[in-house]
Amino acid sequence: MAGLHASEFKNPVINWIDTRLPIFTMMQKEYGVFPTPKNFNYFWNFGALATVNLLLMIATGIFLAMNYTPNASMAFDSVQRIMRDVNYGWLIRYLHANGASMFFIVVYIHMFRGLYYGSYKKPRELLWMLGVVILLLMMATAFMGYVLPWGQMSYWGATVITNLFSAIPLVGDSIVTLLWGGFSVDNPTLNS
Amino acid sequence: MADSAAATMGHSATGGHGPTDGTKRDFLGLVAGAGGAVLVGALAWPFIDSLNPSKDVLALSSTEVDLTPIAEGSAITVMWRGKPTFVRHRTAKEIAEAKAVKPSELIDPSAPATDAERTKAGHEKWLVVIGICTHLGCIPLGNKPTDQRGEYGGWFCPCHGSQYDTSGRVRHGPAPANLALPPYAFETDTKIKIG
Repeated sequence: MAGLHASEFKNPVINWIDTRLPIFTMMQKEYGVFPTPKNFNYFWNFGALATVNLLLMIATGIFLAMNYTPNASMAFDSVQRIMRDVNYGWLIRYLHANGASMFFIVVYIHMFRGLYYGSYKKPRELLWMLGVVILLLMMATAFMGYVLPWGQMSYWGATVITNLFSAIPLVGDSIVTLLWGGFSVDNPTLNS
Repeated sequence: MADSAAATMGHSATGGHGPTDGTKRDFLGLVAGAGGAVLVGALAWPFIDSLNPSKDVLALSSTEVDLTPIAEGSAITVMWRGKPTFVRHRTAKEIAEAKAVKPSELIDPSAPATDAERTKAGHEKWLVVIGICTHLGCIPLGNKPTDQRGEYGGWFCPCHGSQYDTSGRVRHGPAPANLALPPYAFETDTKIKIG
């Protein structure tokens, strides 16, 4: 079988998969044998911690979505049901809500590490820029999650943050109307 | 990494005692792996359990039925946990027919198959069964005396012609099993609680 990747793994199952889809070889290359400076300290853990945190947010988010109703008249009650009636719903929601705060703490330490040790310097400028984009996406996603329970804080948070866009000259008010899907924060805002 | 994992599997049961077999690193690796597996398992359970019926669903999981309006010879349908449940007031003739059948004559002789097993002692005139045909889930006819009830006088399923007797046991047709019995108890002589 010419052209097949020659896997070095001994375990026959891993070898069979790795020969066809060399993910084990890739992981070994990137996280096993890739040379790293020996003066890494615990600050370098926060990238991996952010990954763990992301997985936790995805898992809890999927299970919360199974019991959430995205409608302005039912969203708040469905969150109350998650907290009071769904088995361990309180735990999953608290993991999700506090996990979001933890995510930002972890990411800010990760960023501090990058600034302090110059991880943004040549040739890693693009890496840093992509990180800035990811941070902005994170903040937008966290804001949307904050709006979902549709309580007072969600409603006024949505009002204030969307009104930021009204500061844009000429088209600001039109953009805010577009974001709201109407003339105030209401069901169309929640649905999107 | 793969090499150290293989070494862990092979040697670490002995811990860090021998000079050749098993090192402290293998032992720590095994402890960390086992601890991680326990942690993941403990974390997975709340997620799986969240898919089970929630408290508001469980609070509605039993149904009380007043038996007084049910005329002799007919049955009513009550909803119990989203399933149609038949409560039938049997005539003396229907009870006698149901009692006369031996389990060996039945398509599904597995317990509860005798009429005594399928009703409560002292309340033989009441039969409570889940009204879902055991073939493909249609709702059989036969609650009203004017309905088609099949040859055995119980229920007749219009979908594929299964027939049930006056004890809810399948006697003819594609259905493989007797009508299921919900758990229920008599609170008074005229009131039952299903579930």
